Amino acid sequence: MKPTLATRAIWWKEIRQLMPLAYVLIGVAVFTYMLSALSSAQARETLQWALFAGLPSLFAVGAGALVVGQEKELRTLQWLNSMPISRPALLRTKLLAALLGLALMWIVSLVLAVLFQSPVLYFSSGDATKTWDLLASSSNTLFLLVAGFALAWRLNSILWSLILLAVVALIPHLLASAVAVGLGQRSQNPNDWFLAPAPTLFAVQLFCSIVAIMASTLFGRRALGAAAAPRSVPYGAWSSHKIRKMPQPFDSPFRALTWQWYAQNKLLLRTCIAVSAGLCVIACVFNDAEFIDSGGVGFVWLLLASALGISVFQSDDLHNRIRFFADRGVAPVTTWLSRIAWPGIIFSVSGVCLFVCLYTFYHPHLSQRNQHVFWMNLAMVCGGGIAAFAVSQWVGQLIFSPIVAIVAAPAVTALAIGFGVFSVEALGTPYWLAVLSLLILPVATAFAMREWMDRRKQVRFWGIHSLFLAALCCIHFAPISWIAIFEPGMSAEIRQEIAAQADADYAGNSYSPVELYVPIPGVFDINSPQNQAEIEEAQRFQERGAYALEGYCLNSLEKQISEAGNGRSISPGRVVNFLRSALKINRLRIRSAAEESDSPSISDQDRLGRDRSDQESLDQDRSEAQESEPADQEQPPSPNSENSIVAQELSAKESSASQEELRSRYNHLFEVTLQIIDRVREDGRNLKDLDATDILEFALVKELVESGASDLLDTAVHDSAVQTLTNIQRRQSGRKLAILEAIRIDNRFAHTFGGYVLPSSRANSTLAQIRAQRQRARELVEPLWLCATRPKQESTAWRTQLVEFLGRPPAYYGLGDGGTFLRGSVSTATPQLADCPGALWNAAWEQEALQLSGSMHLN
Amino acid sequence: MITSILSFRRWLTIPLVLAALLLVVACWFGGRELIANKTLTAKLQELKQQGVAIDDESLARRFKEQTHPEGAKAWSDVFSLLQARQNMYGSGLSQIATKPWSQGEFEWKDRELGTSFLNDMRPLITEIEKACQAPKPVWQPIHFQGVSTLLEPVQHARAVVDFLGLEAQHAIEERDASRAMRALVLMQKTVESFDWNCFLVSKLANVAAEESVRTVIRRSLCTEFWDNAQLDSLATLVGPAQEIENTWKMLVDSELAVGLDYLRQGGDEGFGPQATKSYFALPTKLPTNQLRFVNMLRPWREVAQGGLFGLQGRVSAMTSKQVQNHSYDTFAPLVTSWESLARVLVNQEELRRLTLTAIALRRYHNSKNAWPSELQELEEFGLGQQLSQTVDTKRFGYRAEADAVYLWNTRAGAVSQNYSTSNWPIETFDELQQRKQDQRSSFALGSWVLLSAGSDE
Repeated sequence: MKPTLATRAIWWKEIRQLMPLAYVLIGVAVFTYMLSALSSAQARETLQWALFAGLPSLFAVGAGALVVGQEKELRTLQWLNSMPISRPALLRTKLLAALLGLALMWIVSLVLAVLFQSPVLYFSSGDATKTWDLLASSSNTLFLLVAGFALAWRLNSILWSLILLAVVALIPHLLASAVAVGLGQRSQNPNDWFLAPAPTLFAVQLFCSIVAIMASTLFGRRALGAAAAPRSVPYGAWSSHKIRKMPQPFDSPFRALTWQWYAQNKLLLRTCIAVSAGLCVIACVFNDAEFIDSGGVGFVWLLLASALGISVFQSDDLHNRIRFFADRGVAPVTTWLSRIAWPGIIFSVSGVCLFVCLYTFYHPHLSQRNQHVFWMNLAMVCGGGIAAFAVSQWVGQLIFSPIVAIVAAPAVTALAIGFGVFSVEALGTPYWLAVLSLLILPVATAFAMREWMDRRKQVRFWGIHSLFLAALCCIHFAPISWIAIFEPGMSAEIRQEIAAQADADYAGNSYSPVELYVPIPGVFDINSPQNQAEIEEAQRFQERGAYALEGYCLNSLEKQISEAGNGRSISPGRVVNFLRSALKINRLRIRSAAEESDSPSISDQDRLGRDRSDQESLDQDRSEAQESEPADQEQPPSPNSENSIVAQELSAKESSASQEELRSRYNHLFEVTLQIIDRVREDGRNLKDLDATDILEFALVKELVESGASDLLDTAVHDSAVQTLTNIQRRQSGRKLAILEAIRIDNRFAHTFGGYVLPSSRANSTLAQIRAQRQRARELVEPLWLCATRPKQESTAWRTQLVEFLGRPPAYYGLGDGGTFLRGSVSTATPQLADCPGALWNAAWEQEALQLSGSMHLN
Repeated sequence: MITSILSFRRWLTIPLVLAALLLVVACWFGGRELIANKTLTAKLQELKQQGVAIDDESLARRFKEQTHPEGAKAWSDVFSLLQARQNMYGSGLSQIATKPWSQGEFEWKDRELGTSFLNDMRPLITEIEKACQAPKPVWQPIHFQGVSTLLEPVQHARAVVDFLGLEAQHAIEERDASRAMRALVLMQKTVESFDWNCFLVSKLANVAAEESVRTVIRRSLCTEFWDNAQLDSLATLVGPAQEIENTWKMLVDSELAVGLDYLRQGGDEGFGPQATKSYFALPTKLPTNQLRFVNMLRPWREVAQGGLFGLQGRVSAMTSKQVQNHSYDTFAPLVTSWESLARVLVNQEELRRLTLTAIALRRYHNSKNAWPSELQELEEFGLGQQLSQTVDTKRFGYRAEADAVYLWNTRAGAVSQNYSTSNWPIETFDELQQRKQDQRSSFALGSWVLLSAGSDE
């Protein structure tokens, strides 16, 4: 064979060797990206950041072990040595193939980030800090890869080379921190003092990579050399010393198998026990350490769980050892139990011990709020640990290559945890069910044991695993499916009625009302220069007093209504309180003025006399202003005019406004309110706007009926008011249309309806949303529809449903203590009603309004 | 297969032992909760028979029984109107006064705007007057939801008191005594209308509102503003001492209902509609915990027996005792305010006495055109010895200078209006002067009164 041909063959072999790892990682990444796209924004950002750097990092970790370790494991190094290719060329080819793979993984990661709109795209914004972060991440993967190579060449055990790599990976960070401290670049933040700046880290990692390449070359040459015979026993092999210590005789196959598994994985088990003990010591002694607060202990325990999970089957995969038992007819169940017994016990015991230590020594130091967080974190770590163990042992059986399995296990575990989070958050699966469902994976490995032992990865093996995986998914989708099928919604009769009504009456075109506002300084939002000018004008009126400002606001409202034109509806929500209070205060002013004029108090006589003369000046001032600017009756005075000075002096003397003027204002208020009501009743299709209009109508009814204010109104205004208030048919048809509009607009969003924010706004999972939609249809839409379409029927049951659904005080819907009081008497006095859809529908005030028809002067 | 299974027996022993242990623990736990539930049910039944509210329903019933519905509509109208009209002034009263009376001091921010506001709201005062004629305390529609209960009327009442305080201050500055007296009377009646003795928070708000009334009175006494008849009216307005034992019991009882509701709900993060259920709600729902809470709260009912004298000491002792038992820590969010309440009630009474003493001093000066050399000389004006001393029988500080008279609370820990404490007694006039300089703002009018000899301050 020609050397070039051999080199080409080696290139092809190395790349082929790396492909399974790349496939697994890309598959996991794509799936996780898809999951993250369905998750909440915060979870998505975290996941996608982790994925972007995690994909090449995991490849870098596994590449050395795969390309070098597998040669050692399969004893093919001698065969490679026999090829017509020099050792340096062989070493170079392996390293370059892995580097090429790493570069490709970075490209794949970037493509995925672009495809899924990952936050990593922000790097393109040209922020130097973020660019350095990206460079530091890439140099980190480079170091991991070459260090992995060096360790794989140096050590005989793949597992140990991977474990040691986790420790060696810290070296550049520690060095960079030392350099940063030396250069005075230490972070100001005490929590981040050990973090070096990204440029320093980048430089140090590059330096460490060069050192690692040199070490890799050195160790590689030794390993390939004739004298490079293994100095220690290969991973898991039984030494004669161990055989001598073997207890004899075993009374059952299970005991023998368990002992054999222990002997095979003794070193790993002891390491795991030592790590567990170390974690417990940290929890007991250093219980105020940042390492615990930041979740370091939990993270290490998760890694431990993953290592124990992997150990269940992987040591038997080496050189197909398990065939030894299969060929001798050892029962699969016995074998499965013997494989899982030790890791399972160590995993459980380490978890319990760690919990006891944390609870005894760490928990008491926490504040009450953090104690609450402790339990939440503990539950998450516990679930994560179970996931890590169950998934890793499953991956260990599924993937026959120990190296690919070791590298893939954490990635698949992360994917499983991601799926669990998605399931709990988005699908609404109970947390306990999500954790329990993971127990399916050990059952799956038990069922597939026969095929695994026979090393037959055929249809039956994959079928078993697929079935159990499908069962796991079914468990996660079970709650949402249950809700989708069995959660009751609106009754069929009402649904049909609404559908028919929508077909018959409802045009369904877009609806965008003009939102009215009251230009009061400090209340009115200033969004544009035009509004700024308006607010300045309002401020000048405010300086003249509330009465002047009130007049200005009324004129502004009229202007807004006319500017909205006839084609567009208006939204009165923000002006309801102003109009209600203005109506009442003006009526009280008129009454008060009348009483004062009947019997002025002695102490006020002088002042009243002065006020009257001032009033004459003010009236004159106003009449002049009206003549010059008929469209704007409350024009602010020019600061230089004498009249304005007089007006400013009198600004505080609102009591000086004559009764006639007060009546005129009162009529004006009625007119503007009626204009708003008419416009909304004609065109309004927003439930909240219609309810706000109900409050306005209610206020007018109370003014006319209860307060006896009809004698203060002009005949035309009074009759117009009565006409509007007695048009019950228009009111009810508007409500029906508003419900249809709310169903159309808010159907996709369970947290709003007709402009109202509903209590289920916290529903962020699909399950919760489906449930909320059904519940909303049953407990909100249906009773509202019934109230709107059946005004003469008893509505207590429907209103009770509304109260329960909305969580509002029953009294607001005329129920329970104070129900009659609020609904019948003083609803105008409860602005909270603005948050209660349909609270005023079919209440006593509508009957009172109907009775007004007899009082019309034109009759 | 059977042989294999049998050979597992050693291994099976481990989970079996664990399962047995778990079963024992579960049985013990279940039994304990059953017994606790039985005891709790019996205890709550007993409390219910005694008329103590144990849930939202009984709390609503008790509230209805203790209040009068007649003035509810009028007050709702007042609240609504005040709230809506305040919006005409941007951020409301804060745009008019930098320091409202509820902070123990008063300072105009924009007096002209204030004048305009008061003129605009003049008809409202008539409405408040009408509302005040209704029997007290007045019922309001409250939706009882345990710890999430929104006590909006209390806040509205506070706003009314602040508004009336503004009116009173304006009238005092305008030297309009009848208008000022009317505003003060309405302030006091508003306070009485919403003195529900239901909920700790409501009580604290009510005490603060009442203190606003007294602060305005003390402030008005700085100058020669009132005649003797009006001073007598003011003394009547300040009224007798509040009955403390029963009030305290009622508050503890209402907190019992609230706390039990909180535990039954499993604890909340936040309050009101935005509250979210805790992920780990189970422990608080356990009957054992509810029983512990009831047992922990019951002794608090008797703490106020014996009146205000030594109340703070008794409350501190009880707190220490419960801290030692760890029960107080566990339920701290529910009952952390008892010490505050004790401090506020003691302070309320002392400021009442201080106000009455100040009125008597002004009365003395009106009658004799001179200041008394000692507070004992005020006895002829109806001021008993008890009224010129603190609750722990320490006589108020008094100093008559040539141009002014100083009267101050000498008790260590006496609080000013905003509840900041002075940790040592102010025995001498020099100490008072030093204190004034050190803590000008927080010390303010809460613990001392300055009475000027002249007609202007």
